[in-house]
Amino acid sequence: MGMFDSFNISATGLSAQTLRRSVIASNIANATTTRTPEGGPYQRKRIIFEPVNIRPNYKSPLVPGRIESGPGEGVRVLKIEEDKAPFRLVYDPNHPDAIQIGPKKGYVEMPNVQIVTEMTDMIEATRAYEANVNMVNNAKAMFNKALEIGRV
Amino acid sequence: MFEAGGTNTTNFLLERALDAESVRRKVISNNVANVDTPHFKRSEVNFESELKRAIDQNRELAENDYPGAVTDEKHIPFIQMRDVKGVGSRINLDYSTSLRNDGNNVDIEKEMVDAAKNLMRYNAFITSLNQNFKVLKMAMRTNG
Repeated sequence: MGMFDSFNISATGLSAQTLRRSVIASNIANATTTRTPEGGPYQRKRIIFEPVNIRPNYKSPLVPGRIESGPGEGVRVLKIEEDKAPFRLVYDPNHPDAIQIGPKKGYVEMPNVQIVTEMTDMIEATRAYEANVNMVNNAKAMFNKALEIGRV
Repeated sequence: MFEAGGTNTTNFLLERALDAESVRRKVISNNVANVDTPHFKRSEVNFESELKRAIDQNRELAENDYPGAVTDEKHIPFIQMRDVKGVGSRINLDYSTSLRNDGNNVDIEKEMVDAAKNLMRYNAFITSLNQNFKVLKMAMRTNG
C-alpha cells in the first residue's frame, strides 16, 4: 500500500468518468445517424464499469491471515457495449434510408438514443467527476498537512 | 494504565490514528471512484470502535472485583489484557444495503461528508501531534 494510493484510485475514477462522457458525447453526436459501417442505424453505446480489486474480498479460515480485504484499487471500464433497445421509427418516405418493403414501408429507423437520458447521464458523469476531483484536492490538503508534522 | 505511558503512548496512538485515517481516505476514494459501478458495495473503516473495545476491555479488567483465579500459567483468564498499541484499523464491506436498482450502495453525499470529516480529523491529529512535540521541546529547553 503506497502513499499515493488514494490519488491513483481517484485518478481511475476521473479517467473512467472522462471516457463515460466521451461515450455520451458520441451518442448525442450520432443521435440521428441512420447509416453505419455495420449496417443499420447507430446503436446507442453504454459503458460498463467494474471495481478493481487485487486482493480477494473475503476472509476464511483457509486463506492466510495476511490476505484480508484491503481498500480497493479503484474502477476500470469493463466494456463499452451496445444498447439493445429497439430503434425509433420515424415516418419519412422520402428519406434515402426509408424501409422500402413490408409493413414498415416508408418508416426510417432512427438510433435508439434518447437525448434526455443522455443529458441526465452527462450530469451524473460530471458530478461523479467533480466528486473525484474533490477527493484529490482533499488528499492533497492531507498530505500537505502531513508535511507539517514535527515542524514546531 | 493508559495515561501511565505518557507522551510516548499518546504519540504512538496518534500515529495509529493517522494510519487509520490514511486507510480510510483510500477506502473513501475507492467508494467515490466506484459510484457508478453496478453491484459495487461500499466499504468502511473501523478504528475508533476497535480502540474503544480494547480500552473498555482493559478498564473492565482493572475494575473487575472477581477475577478468575489463575494459579497456573496455562490458565486462561476470563478477560484478557489487550495491548492498546496493537489495535489496527479494519475494513468492513457493507454488503447488506442497496441504494439503487443496480445494486450499488454508494451514497455520494455521505462519502463527501466522510471525506471532509476524514480531512478534519487528520488535521486535528497532526495539530495534536505537533502540540506534543512542542511540549517536549519546551521541556527540553528549560535549562534555567
